[in-house]
This record gives sequence, structure tokens and C-alpha cells, in this order.
Amino acid sequence: MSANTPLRSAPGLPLKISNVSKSFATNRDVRPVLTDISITVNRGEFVSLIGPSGCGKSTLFNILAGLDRADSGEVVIDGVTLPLTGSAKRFRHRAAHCAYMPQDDVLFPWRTVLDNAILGLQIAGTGRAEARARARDLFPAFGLTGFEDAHPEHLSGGMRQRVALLRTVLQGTNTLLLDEPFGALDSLTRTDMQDWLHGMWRDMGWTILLITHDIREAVRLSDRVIALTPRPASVRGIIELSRPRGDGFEPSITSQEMMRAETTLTTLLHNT
Amino acid sequence: MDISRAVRTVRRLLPAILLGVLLLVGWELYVRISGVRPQILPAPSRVFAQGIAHSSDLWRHASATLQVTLIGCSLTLIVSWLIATAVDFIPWFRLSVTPFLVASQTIPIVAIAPLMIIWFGFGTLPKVLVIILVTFFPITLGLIEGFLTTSPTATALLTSMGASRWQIFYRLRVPQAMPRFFTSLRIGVTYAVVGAIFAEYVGARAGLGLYMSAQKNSFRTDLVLAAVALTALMSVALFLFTYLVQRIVAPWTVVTGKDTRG
Ligand SMILES: Nc1ncnc2c1ncn2[C@@H]1O[C@H](COP(=O)(O)OP(=O)(O)OP(=O)(O)O)[C@@H](O)[C@H]1O
Ligand SMILES: [Mg+2]
Repeated sequence: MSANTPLRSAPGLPLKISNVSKSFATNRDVRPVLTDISITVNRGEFVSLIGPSGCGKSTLFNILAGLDRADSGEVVIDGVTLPLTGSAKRFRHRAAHCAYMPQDDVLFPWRTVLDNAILGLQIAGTGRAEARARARDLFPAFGLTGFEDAHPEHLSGGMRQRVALLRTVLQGTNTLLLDEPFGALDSLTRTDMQDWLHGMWRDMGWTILLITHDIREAVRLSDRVIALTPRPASVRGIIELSRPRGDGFEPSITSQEMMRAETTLTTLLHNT
Repeated sequence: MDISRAVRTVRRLLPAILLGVLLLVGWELYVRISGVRPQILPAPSRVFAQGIAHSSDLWRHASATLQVTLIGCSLTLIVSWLIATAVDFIPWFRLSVTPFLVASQTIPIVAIAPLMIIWFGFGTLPKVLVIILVTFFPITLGLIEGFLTTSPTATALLTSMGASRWQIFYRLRVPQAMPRFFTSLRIGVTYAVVGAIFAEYVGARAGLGLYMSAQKNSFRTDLVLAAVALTALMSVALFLFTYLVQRIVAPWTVVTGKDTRG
């Protein structure tokens, strides 16, 4: 894999979730969190998951990232089925097909920006020099040139998110799982970051599954928005947005279509 | 070190220096005015002059004390890291070890130090053992708790990358534990000096503790106090030394001006 092709291509759908259910045993009772979720993401697609707080979005991501297991159902990533049972080690190995960006940026203060970016590569066994070289190639595209040796505490919120995203992308997987990447940003930075992410997605050919609370963000960015019910989460509705591939960001979708989509989503999410 | 930083350092130290000078002046005045006998309470000027006069003796004993302190601390570091690491990897080990950690702290040094002399003689070993006994608890506990400050999200991130338990340990848990480790190390080294002096006091061939004991027996209060002052200097020097080590080993924990992330 060369530095210029960070994405591995593999046969099959990048992501196919079929009838996944999950509950947590609490002290008193069993709390269902996901019921019968089915989602398919095609290669190169940008799909958003939107749902009320605490409905189970992060839990679903944990399952996709191999941190947790579904009780039933099936998750297939790049044609590989995640086992529902089995040893943790095997499980993690399989799970390395999805690159997961957690809700917090989780940048390590003891690492420079460059070394934070290469964390996933190092974990996977890539040598530090090679990992750094690969990361450096992507610094300009991520707008981080000149900050290689800075420490994360000196970065703005938007930059921190870009470092976290670079770290995610460098894992060289097909599918990026982004858990509310812009949740903590102010609205101005947030819009900038959305435009930037959208551009990167278009140019780099990523497949993205994004969690958000923000209807407008979902509509601006996605090919498809999946609305979830309150806990236990199930799919309440799916909205397809026609977004001609290869076009610029703004003109690709009319403001009328956007407004219609926003209204539909609002209705979906608020009528419980 | 650039000039502005030197100025800032001096300004930070100034209150402590002023207070010290004030206390010394008060003490000196009291001794001169009251006319108390030097065997009871020598003036600081006398302590200083006699300390200088006996400096080669003092230095010989101080270096013996410093040596056992450093050996003891080094051994404690090895033992602490081994135990804390084992505790971090093996949950039941925590449960079995914690009572002994706590118990090791309740052992009265007054009782155990003489026994150490009886068992191991007047050499280095009993002093080193006493030092390990007094420093081992804070340092091990600091490490164990430092590992536990690791955030679940960071652990989840590494796990999602396919990290092994060992990778999570040395790439995440160890750096995360550094602030607490150095705090406990600072407590540890100051205990170590006190422990060394005490063990030497009970019986030794050399060391500031032995020196104090001998001078006290010949009513050389001034020399006892000179040894005490030297002990205090040594503790402060070791204390500051840990900051230097921290700056080299874990520079991100000593970023000044701005809060480091927890
Ligand atoms: N390990 C666990 N044990 C018990 N309950 C859990 C556990 N993890 C999550 N939950 C519960 O599952 C529900 C869904 O949590 P999750 O974090 O997936 O929500 P979310 O949709 O990501 O919320 P937010 O939008 O606030 O991030 C919550 O009610 C939470 O309390
Ligand atoms: Mg969440």
C-alpha cells in the first residue's frame, strides 16, 4: 500500500448490518438499546445516523468497531462477518476493518500532532519512520502543515478534529465511523469543517457512516440519512438525497430539497 | 535558561527565602539576647561556623546517607513498577496485594529498624530495606492509581485499532500514569531521606543519622543541627531533582502557563 492510496479496496459491501439487536443487563432489568437494526452502506457513500440523545447510536458504533458485541443479527464489513461470539482477540482482529473516531477526539498530550496521527499505524505494527512518512503526505490535505511537531493542547477545536480524522483515515480501512465529530465545535467552525469533510470525502473516495444530532448537518453532508427512534433504537425512516457525484458542494443539492428533507426529518424525529 | 525565566524563578523562590532569613534572624537575636548556653541552643551563626569547620566529616557522612537513599529509591522504583504492573494486568492480584501494601505502612519504623540491624548488621542492607519499606507504599499506590486514571474512551480507541493489552499498557496507561507517578515519587524521596537517617541513627558505620546520634551524645548540639540542616538540603535537592527528571521523562506533564489535559 503506497502513501497515496490510503484506502484498501476489498470485495463486497463495505458495511451491511442486518437485524442487529443489543441490550445491556443493568442491576435490576435488561435494557434493550438496539432492536432489529438493518443498514446497508455502499462503497463511497456518505450515510448519516441521526437520533435522540441516548438512543443507542454509540452502542451501534461500538459493535461495528469491535468494542462490543450484538446479541443477535449480523454485521458484515467488507465481506467479513463479525463474529457474535468468540475470543476477544479474534474479534478485534476482524474489527480492524472499520476505522472508528470516538465522540471525544482522544488526542494524547504526550504525542505531537504527527505522532498522534500515526497511532493506528503503530498499533498495527508499522515502523515509526514509515508511519510518519505516510502521515506527512496527508498533512497538506488536512490543513495541518506546519503543525507536525505541535502538541494537541496548542490546537484549535477544528484542528484537533482534523488530527483525529487523519488518525482515523491513516488506519487504511475502507469505512470510517465518525461519532459526532463536530459536536463540540462552535457553529462557524462546524460549518467550515462540514464543507471540508465533504470535500475530502469526495476527493478521497471514503465510505462514511456519521453520527450526528444535527439535522442540518446530516442533510448537508449525506447521500442518505437514517433516522432512529428513541431507545431502544430502530430505524424510523430513511431519506435519500440526490447528490450528483463529482459536483461542488453547495450547488449539488437545491435549498428547496434541503428544506424538504429537513422538514421530513424533523417530523420523523419528533413524532414519537 | 533565558533571563526572563531566571527572573521568574527567583521571584517564585523569593517568599521562601525571605521567610527563611526572617526565622534565622529571629533565632540569632533570641540566642544573643537571652544568653542561652550553646549546648542547649546554639545560634545559627555558630551552627554554620561549626558546620564549615567540620565540613569534611559532615560531607563523608552525608555522602553515605545519600548513597543508601539513592540505592533504596532505585530498588523501590524497580519493585513498585513490577508490582504496579502486575496489579494492572491481573485484577485479582490487586485484591491480594492491597492489604499487604497498607500493612507495610502500619509497621512502626521505630520497632523494625533496630530489628533490621540485629538481622542484617550495620552495613548498607538494613538501611536500604528501611528505605524500601517507607517509600514503596506511596510510589506503588501512585502508579496503580495513575494507571486507573486512563479514560475508557482512549482505551476503546486503541482497542478498535486492534491494540493488545500490552500495547494499551505502554502506549496509553504508562504515559497516563506519569503525573501521579511523579507526585508519589516526590513524596517517596522525602520519606526516603527520613527513613535513611532513622536507620542510621539506630546503628551504622557512617551516615548523617549516626553522626547526629554521636554528636548528641557529646552535647554538640551545634553539629547535630548542622547535620539536620544538611539533611534538609539533601531532601530539597532530591525533591527538585524529581522535577528535573519529570521534565525529561514526561515533559507534557510540566507544561507551564496552560492546564495540561487530565
Ligand atoms: N455498558 C453499558 N451498560 C448499560 N447501559 C449502557 C451501556 N452503554 C450504554 N448504555 C445505555 O445505552 C443507551 C444508549 O447509549 P449510547 O451511548 O449508545 O447513546 P447515544 O445515542 O450515543 O447517545 P448520545 O447521543 O448522547 O451520544 C443509554 O441509555 C446508555 O445509558
Ligand atoms: Mg453517543
